[in-house]
Amino acid sequence: MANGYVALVLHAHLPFIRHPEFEEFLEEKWLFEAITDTYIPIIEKFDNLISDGVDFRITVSLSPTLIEMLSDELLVKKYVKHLRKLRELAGKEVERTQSDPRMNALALMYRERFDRAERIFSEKYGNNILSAFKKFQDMGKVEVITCCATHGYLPLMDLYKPAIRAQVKVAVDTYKKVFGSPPKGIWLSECAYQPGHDEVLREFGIRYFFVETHGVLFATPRPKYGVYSPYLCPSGVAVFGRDMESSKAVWSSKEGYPGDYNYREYYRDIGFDLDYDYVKPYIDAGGARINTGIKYHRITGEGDFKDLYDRQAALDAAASHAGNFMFNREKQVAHLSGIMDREPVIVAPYDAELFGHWWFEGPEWLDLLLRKMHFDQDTVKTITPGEYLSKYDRYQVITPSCSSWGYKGYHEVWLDGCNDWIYRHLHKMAELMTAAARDYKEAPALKKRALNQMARELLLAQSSDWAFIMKTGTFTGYAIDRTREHVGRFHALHDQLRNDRIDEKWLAGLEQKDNAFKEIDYSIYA
Amino acid sequence: MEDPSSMEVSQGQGRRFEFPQNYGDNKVVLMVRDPWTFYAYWEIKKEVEDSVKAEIHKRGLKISKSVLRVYNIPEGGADPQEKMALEYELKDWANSWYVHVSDPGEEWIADIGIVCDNGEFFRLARSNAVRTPPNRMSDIMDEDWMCPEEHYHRFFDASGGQEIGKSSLEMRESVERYLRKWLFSGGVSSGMFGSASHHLFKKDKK
Repeated sequence: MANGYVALVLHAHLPFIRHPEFEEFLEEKWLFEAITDTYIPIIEKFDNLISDGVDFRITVSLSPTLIEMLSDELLVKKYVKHLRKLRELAGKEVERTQSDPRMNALALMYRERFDRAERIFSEKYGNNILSAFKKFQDMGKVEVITCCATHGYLPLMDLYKPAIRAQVKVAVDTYKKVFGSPPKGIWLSECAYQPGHDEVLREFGIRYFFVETHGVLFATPRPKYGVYSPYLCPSGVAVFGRDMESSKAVWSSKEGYPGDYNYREYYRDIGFDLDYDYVKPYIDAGGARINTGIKYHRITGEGDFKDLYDRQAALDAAASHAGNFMFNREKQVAHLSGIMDREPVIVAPYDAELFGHWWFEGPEWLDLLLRKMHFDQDTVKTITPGEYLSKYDRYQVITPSCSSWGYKGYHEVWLDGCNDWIYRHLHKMAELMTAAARDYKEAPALKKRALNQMARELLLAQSSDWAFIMKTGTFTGYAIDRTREHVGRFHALHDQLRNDRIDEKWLAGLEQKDNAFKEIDYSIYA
Repeated sequence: MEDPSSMEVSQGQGRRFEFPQNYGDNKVVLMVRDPWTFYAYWEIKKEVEDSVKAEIHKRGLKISKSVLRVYNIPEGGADPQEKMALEYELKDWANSWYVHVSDPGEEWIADIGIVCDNGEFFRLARSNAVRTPPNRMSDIMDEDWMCPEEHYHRFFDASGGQEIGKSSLEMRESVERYLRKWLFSGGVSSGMFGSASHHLFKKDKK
């Protein structure tokens, strides 16, 4: 009988990037890397846990743009080709490193890893890894939830309720298409909440969402159990607050596990380290050196010197960190049980892409943690938010405070001198979209297509990823170009619609390119 | 089929879309940023400005300055005009501002307008109202879920309440470090964007 619970949440999101006009396109590799480094390893771990009889619960949020890309025939085809080339490169590496036993062992590790990825992706799941998540959900191990349609930052579109409704409805519809029924929960983009937005969630049948720690702690009235219980908003939708301690264990730049010196060093990739002609077929088609995913060094220390990666030492570190995490959660639960009159739940959300891509050993840590929690103790059990909610009849009603999990806890990252200029344009688009949806109810075929495409361009422009990239100050040109494209296309479509001169050929081109949310219905904005 | 890579263009005619300076509206929009800050952006229609200036001229008054005026909306709904909190003088080109207030959890509204020599104010546009979020635990307690004062504080501390802000700084450093790794890795290359680059590196045209 557990004394308390841990609700692990993995939030998986990538912005919509799709270029049908190119055989290879650099930015599509974000998706391919995430599939190879994160999603496949996590799926493999879940499958292993199940076949080893480990009882576990975990929540995974899949953003609608990610779902769209994972379901896209063209992107899947490109991924299969990408993986084939990766396996080829790994094979060459095995040959190249034959005279160096330590490096050769690592090369063999990569070749085996990518071969396994191909078997899992293509043979086991038929190029459709969404079906893996559905399977885990149907088995009761994973609760899959949704996220805002294009990861739009809801508090910064607060004046435009139709835009908020659309971000949520398109998310729910996209989820239903894959999983057969509506999602129980949602991960709000960047955990960004504004009082009242839970009403929109209720409208579409969502039962719970998450906020940052102070979203609960600064709620009105005062919450009785800190972040260790969910609460109900006045709308009836439940809210869970993030636990800071379990987050810091992983996220902290000073103390977090991923910084351990035994773990793999991200920056030493053969795409940059090896002879140019040798890696050329496997890097960017335009010739720029990029990461391949094959890396031979460990973090080693703060300086530039990087030692060779020692896989066993890294796995030992992962086991030690898993044990440490579990031990600390046991202590936490023991302490909280003593002061709470109900079983505490510790909510621990992370970006999914941390596991495997940025933190190479992340999936191993997760696997080891879930095994240890199952076999080595009884104090703490994993749980999903949906399951926890059914434990008690009464929950305190609170209104969480406006908050996000961004820097300083509010909206500063997305509303700053470098990116604030976008909002007048996003707001105007939302205004025009709403007016057009109301003016053109029951539009005939061509106008309907234009209106639907306008809705897609609006949603894509609203991705909070663009404002975030502008804020980090690195490669802001990309984010500005994406914003420019979607705003420009929207206005061109709008002008054509209002002047009754829709360029069908051009519209067809857009539909083919920005083809997320094929079944979208613009009337959600009416 | 037309090459969709030139689609950032209106009508696919090779022109790059330029963000307009304004949309012909007359409005002020406030957006909350954090407990002490909100962002204001505005557009003022020339006709509205001309009409107000004509009125000012008709009354023989002289224009002193253009301003952004911020009012606190008191609890209980008294006229916000009574509680002007801040006034910023605006230069001609200004179309946005960050307003800094000292009291979290309050409601605010703003006007763009013209102040005359005699102190009279002529509004050009009024904003939406916004409420800045709180930055501390609420004073309001729920009768159904009452407990001793120290109990709330115990849970506040256990939840990491003392580290709010500090922890998200650490997290931001981590997230940025990871994002820079990904961006630096060639996941994003500014040289690859824009239709010129696309034409240089395209493999085959459909």
